[in-house]
Amino acid sequence: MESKGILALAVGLSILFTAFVMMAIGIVVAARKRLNNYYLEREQLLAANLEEGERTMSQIAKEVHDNIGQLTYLLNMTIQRARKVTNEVEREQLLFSAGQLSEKVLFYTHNISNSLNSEYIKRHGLYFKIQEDIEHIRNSGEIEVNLDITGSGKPADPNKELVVYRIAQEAVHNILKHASAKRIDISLHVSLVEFTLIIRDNGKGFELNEALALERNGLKNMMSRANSLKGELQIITHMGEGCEILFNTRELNIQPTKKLKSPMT
Amino acid sequence: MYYAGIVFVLLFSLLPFGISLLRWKTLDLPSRIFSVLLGFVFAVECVATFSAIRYQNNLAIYNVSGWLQMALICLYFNFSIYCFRKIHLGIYLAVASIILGIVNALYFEPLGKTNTFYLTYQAVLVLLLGILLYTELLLKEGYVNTYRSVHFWLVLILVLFNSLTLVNFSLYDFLADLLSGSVYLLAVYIWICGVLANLGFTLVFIFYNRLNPTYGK
Repeated sequence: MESKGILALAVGLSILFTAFVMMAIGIVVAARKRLNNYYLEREQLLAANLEEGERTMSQIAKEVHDNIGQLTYLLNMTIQRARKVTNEVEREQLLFSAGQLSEKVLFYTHNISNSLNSEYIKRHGLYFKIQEDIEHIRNSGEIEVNLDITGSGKPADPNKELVVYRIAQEAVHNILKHASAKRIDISLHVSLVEFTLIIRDNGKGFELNEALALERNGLKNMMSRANSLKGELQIITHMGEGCEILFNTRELNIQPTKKLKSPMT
Repeated sequence: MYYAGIVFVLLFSLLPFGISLLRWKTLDLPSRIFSVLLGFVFAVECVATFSAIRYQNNLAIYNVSGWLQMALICLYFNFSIYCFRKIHLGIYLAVASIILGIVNALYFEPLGKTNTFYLTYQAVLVLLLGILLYTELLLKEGYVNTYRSVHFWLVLILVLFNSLTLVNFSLYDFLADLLSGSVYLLAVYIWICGVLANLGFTLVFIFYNRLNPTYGK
């Protein structure tokens, strides 16, 4: 009986020690899991950034080809003509028109620079940039845009803020390109725990399943960006009924600021 | 009953070695070293059994083989821990372990007795090397699927075996004195731990192809 007691003590000590070792290994595994989540999140952000890079390239190419290239060509032609013309009045007119063209070139260049430059967006913040974009759309005079911001707070991480902006930018870009809408309503609901973005239009709408089957990059980009922020992205649309895009996330780590105003409403 | 126990233990040391041999082509270098270690353990068990039956004592065989086992374990860690591989620390530790074993046998504990000092050193070193491997696993850059790593499981089993037997090996002589006639109970406990460890190694090598030898995704 005594020997069994001694053995039980020795075995008990061993098991106790092993339990301690197991606990230590368990802590390492749990810590590794948390690190893995961090790395996964970083990878997703990186993938979103790479996609963004590609998209930016094609956007620059399109803008240069459609606007700046043609305007510069026109500007060049106007100046060449002004050099050849002997009539002072006509020359003045041509130079005036050249001045207007160069202003347009500057305006488009400024627009591209601001909408593509992530540093500019990070520096000025999501709300300012959305407001600025809305101002540009309104200036075109073809579509009515309303912005409503409720709640207060600002995302702590500018990189995540940029991802949200890209989602909004993609949604608005899609509306302008495909929806033939007359009105866009953008709502931002900000609280310390949650961030919600709703973009609604009264355009022609589309069949979501068909659009997803076509594997259009725009929708895919929006979804991968939403995933990178562990957010929920809902697209509610039907033919002829417009479209509503609802993005919701709790990963923005909203920091308190003074109450936001929505001057554009 | 005694012989049945011996056959049982021998079978369980042969099992992981046999499975690892079947997987030999797919094994990475540290796993191959581990397979050699398992083969060596099986050979030692065979020789020790023969010696126990023939000469009624097999302690010398266990003691000498312990040095080589430790050297193989150090070599295994040398190739599975990246910072060890860079400076060949595992190789130095392997050589040091053999020298330490010889010095211990010459000056402290004769080969005919249980070398508790050396067994303690062996268990503590394995635990320390295990901690180092897990630290490296924790600090590794990028995504690491712990459960998919072969070396995570091999080292886990090694660490558990050594933590379960550390107290018994370190205090073997003391416990043997206290237990007097029932010392076989201690041997049975160590046997059970050995059998469980071998069962674990067998499972790792059975699922080797589903696991990943590196710490990748």
